[in-house]
Amino acid sequence: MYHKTSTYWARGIMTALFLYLVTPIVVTLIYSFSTSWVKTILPSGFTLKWYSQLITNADFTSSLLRSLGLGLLTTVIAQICFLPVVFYANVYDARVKSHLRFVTVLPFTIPGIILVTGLIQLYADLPIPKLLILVLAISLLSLPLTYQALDNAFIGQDFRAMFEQALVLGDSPLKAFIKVILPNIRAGILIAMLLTFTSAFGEYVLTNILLGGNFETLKIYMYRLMQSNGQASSVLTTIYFIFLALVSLILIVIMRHYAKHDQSSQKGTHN
Amino acid sequence: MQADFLQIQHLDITLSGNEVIKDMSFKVRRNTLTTFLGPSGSGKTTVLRAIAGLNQHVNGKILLDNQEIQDQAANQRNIGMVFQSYALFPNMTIFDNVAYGLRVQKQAPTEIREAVAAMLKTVGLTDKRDAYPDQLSGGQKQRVAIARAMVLKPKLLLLDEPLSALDAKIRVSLREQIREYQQKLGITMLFVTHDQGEAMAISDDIIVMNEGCVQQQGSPMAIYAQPDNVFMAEFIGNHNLLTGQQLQRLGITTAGNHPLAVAEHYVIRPELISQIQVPHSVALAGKITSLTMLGDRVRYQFLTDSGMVLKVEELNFMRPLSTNVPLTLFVNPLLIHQVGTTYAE
Repeated sequence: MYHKTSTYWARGIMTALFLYLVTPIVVTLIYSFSTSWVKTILPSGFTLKWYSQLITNADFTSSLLRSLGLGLLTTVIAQICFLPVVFYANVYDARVKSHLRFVTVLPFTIPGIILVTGLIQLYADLPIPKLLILVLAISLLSLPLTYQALDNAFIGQDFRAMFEQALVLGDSPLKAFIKVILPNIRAGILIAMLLTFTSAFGEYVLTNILLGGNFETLKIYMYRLMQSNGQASSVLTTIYFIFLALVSLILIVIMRHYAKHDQSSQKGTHN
Repeated sequence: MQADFLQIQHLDITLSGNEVIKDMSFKVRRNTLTTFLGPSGSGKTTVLRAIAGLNQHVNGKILLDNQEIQDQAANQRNIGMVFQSYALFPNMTIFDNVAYGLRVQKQAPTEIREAVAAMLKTVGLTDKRDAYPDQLSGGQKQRVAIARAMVLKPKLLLLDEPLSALDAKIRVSLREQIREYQQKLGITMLFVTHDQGEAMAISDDIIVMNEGCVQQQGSPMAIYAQPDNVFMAEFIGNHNLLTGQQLQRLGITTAGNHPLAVAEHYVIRPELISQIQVPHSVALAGKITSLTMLGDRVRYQFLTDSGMVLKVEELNFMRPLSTNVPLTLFVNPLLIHQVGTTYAE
C-alpha cells in the first residue's frame, strides 16, 4: 500500500516537472503560429505570417550572419589554439595536463562583467579592434568545453606510439599529425567544435557589454524583439530552440556512433 | 657476418634530469637477432628509442652500417620499429597500414600492391587485407605491426616487448614466427623483453641490462653457463650462489679447473646437482627437506650434512623421492662457475 502511494507521488512530481519545463516551449511554439492570442484559452487562428516577416527582415538576417560569423570564428580560433596544446600534453608531456586542468577552470571563476572590464581597461588604448577582443575572449571562455572534449578524444588509444610509428615509417611530424592523429580524434574535434560554436553563437553578456548596439547578434536581437513584438520574438525563440535541438541531436548521434565503435574495438582486441 | 653492424659508443641518456643510461657501449652483428634483456626500469626501451631517434637528449655515438646516425631525425634513419601497443592506425585498413611507409617513400602503386601482398602472405594475413585493426586479434595485430615494419626492408628492426600483451600460447607461437621471419628475410633485429625464456629461445645474442648499464653480452648459452657477475647469476635462471668458503665446507676444492678463492662467489645451477654420479664428481650427503613435483621435472631443497641448503632440479626419473630420508647427490666441480665478489659496476 505504502509502495503504491509513493509510486503515485513520484509519478505526479515527475509529470508536474515535465509540464513545468515543456509548457513554455509548447506555448511559445503555438504562439509563434497564432494570428492573435490575447485573453482567450486558444489562439484565434494560425498563420505563417510571423515566420515570413522575420525571415525577410534585414535585421534578423544580419544578426543571424553576425552570430554565425562569431560562432565560426571562435570555433576556428579555439581549435587552432587548443588542439596543439592538448596534443602536446597527451603525446609528449603528461605533466602539462595538471596545469591545463587548472587553467581550464578559470573561465568558470571569472564572471563576464569582470572579464569585460578587465579587457577594456587593458586594451582600450591599443589599436586593437573590439571585435577581435570579443572573439578572443569568447574563445577563451569556451576553453573548458573545448579542452574537455579534445582531451577525452585522446583516451583509449596509444597516440604517442601511433605518432612515433608514423615518424619511424618516414613521415614528417606535420603529415603524421594530419594522417594519423587527426582522423582518430575527429569525434572529439567535432564535439568540441559544436560545443564551442553553440556557446559562441548564443553568447550575450560579453557581446552586449563590449560592443552593444554596434554589433547586434541573434541573442541581442531576440531581447530587443521581446520588447516590441511578442509573436516575432516567439518565432525567433522557436527557431533558436530548433537549432539547439539539432546540435544536441548531432552530438548524441556522434557519441553513440563512437561508443558502439569503441565496444567493437574492445571485442576485437581479445586474442 | 659483419661484427659491428650497429655500434653504440659511450651512450648517455638523461630523462627529466635523471641519467638513465650511463656510458653504454655494445655492438650488434648483421643479420642476427639480438635481445635486450633486463628487469623493468633497466633502460632497455630507452636505448631502443635512442637508436630509433625518438629520444631527444642523447650523448654518445650511434653507428649503423658505419654511418653515424645519432643526429638524424627518426624519419631519416631507415630503422623499423614495432611498439608494445602495436600502434596500428585504427582509421586505415590492414593493407593501408602496411602500405603506409611505402606511400611515404612515394613508390609506384603497382610496386606497393605487390610488396604489401607479398608481406601479408609472409605473415599469413592475406585474407585480412581489407579489415580494420579493431577486427583483428592481438596476435594478428602484432603480425600486421611486424609486416608494416619489415615491408620497408629496414637496415635494422627494433621490437619493443612486442609479445607482452599476448597470452602465453600465442607468445610462444609468435616468437617462433618472428625468428623465422628474421632468418628468412635476413633482417638485423634488436628485440626488447624482460622474459628470459623468450630471450633464450630466439636470440643469437643477448645483452643483459641493469640500472642503465650493460651487465653482459653473449650467446644464450654463454649468458647462462658463464655469468660474469653476481647480478647475472641471480637474474638468469635458478641458481645456488655460494662463497669459496661454503664450497669448501661441502668438500669441493676446485671450480672449473682452478682452486677455490675463499672470498669469491660461485654459482651452481640447480640442474647440475644430480643423483647420477659422473667422473670427477663430488658426493654430497644429506636429505631432501621440501619437494615440488613439476611433471617432467622435480625441484627440491637439499640439506647437506654440513648444514648447507641447496636448490636442486632434476628430470623426473619416475623414482619415488621422500623428504628427510638420507640421500647422496653429486656435483661436478668443472661446472661450478666463479662470478666475482660483488655486483658489476
